[in-house]
Amino acid sequence: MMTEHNPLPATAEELARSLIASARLDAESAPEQVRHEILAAFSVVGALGSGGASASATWGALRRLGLVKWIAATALVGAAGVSAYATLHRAPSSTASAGRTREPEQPIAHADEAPMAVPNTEASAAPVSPAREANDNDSSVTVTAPHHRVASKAAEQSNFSETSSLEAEVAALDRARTVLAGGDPARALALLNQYEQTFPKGVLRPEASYLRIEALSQSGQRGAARDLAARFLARHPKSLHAAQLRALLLP
Amino acid sequence: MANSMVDDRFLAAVRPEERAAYEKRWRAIVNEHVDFIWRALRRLGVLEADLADAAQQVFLVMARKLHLVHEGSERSFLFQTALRVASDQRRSRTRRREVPDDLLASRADERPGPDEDLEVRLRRAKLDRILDLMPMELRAVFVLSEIEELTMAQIAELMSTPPGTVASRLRRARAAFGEHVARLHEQERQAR
Repeated sequence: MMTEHNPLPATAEELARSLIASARLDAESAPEQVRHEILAAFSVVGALGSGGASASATWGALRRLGLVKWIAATALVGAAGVSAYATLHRAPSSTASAGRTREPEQPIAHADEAPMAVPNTEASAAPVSPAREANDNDSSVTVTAPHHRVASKAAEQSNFSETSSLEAEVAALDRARTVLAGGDPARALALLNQYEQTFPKGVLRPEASYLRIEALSQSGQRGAARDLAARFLARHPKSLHAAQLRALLLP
Repeated sequence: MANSMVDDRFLAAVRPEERAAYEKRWRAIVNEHVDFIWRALRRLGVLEADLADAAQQVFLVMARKLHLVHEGSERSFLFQTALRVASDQRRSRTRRREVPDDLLASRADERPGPDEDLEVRLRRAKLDRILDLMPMELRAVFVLSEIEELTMAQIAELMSTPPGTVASRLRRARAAFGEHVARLHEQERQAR
């Protein structure tokens, strides 16, 4: 398997050097997509509160749904991201176990723009347990004493009045997706109707549209599915769902 | 200690006029460190297929603790989180299957990419197999020193570990690496 240009290292020392050199050549960067997802993660965390089991669970749900990529694809970092910091005040963060304290549901701001959607590719998505990871042996981390709640003030300043809960949105779509995956498109469509009534301005509406297209398609309503897919593509040409939807539109 | 400075900064961060600065800090941190963390996770043994998830996981921890992390400690915080994420993954991986002892076998995810030098890729696969055999705390020190080419002092800071500990780990790591390489060399010689 070795070529004549690269003969086997004559000595173990040479081999060691060549092995290490191979890794130094591997000075690659993180892919752009990953960078974007990570930048977006902050707005999600901020929106959900910076501690809390529910935030963690919701993040897990977001990842299961493949919505992390979707959020990365929207302008949430700029729009909701900024206002999301208003909810950071909720963080108790007083001890290493802060991450496990149960937090009330956090509101999230709407993105004004109808966002783009992505395929549900993240099947695995192990739940994250950040507090443990972060604090156990970290002398570099400063742990603060419990601080005052500035919740009410910050809440006044943010205009979340008519916003929905991202968690509830995620849960609703999760149900629809599960039902759809279980082969019941009619029930999925009913759940999606319900979602759209409950969250007329939901931030995950494009994801709901995508699920609707899938459900229509599955239930044999190909015409309706194609109409909706065409409209979806017109609105979200750069959606990560786009390729799948274009395939659906092929004759 | 109630660390008022951090508290103040945290409280300031939630004032609307300060939110932009908070986000700016986040973006700066991600942009500055994401490549290093990416490489670190890879050399700490995270499989290619899991890298994106692992990197997200590391930075998610950071996002949630941003108000607790001193400026200047970000890289250290991120690296230590990465170390933990990589260790967790490794544990769950070894639970699933035994790591084969054959250093010549290549990991399934280390097949050569189309645009990469096959030779380099194979060597890297062997390197990763050897690193897989090392305990994580030795592996980390070894990777930082030999591959990232950091100084002992930089490693000590990054790992929040006394320099003496770093030095002794590095000695042990080099010895272990040397033994594995000698064994690999012997295997390759026989396979020739």
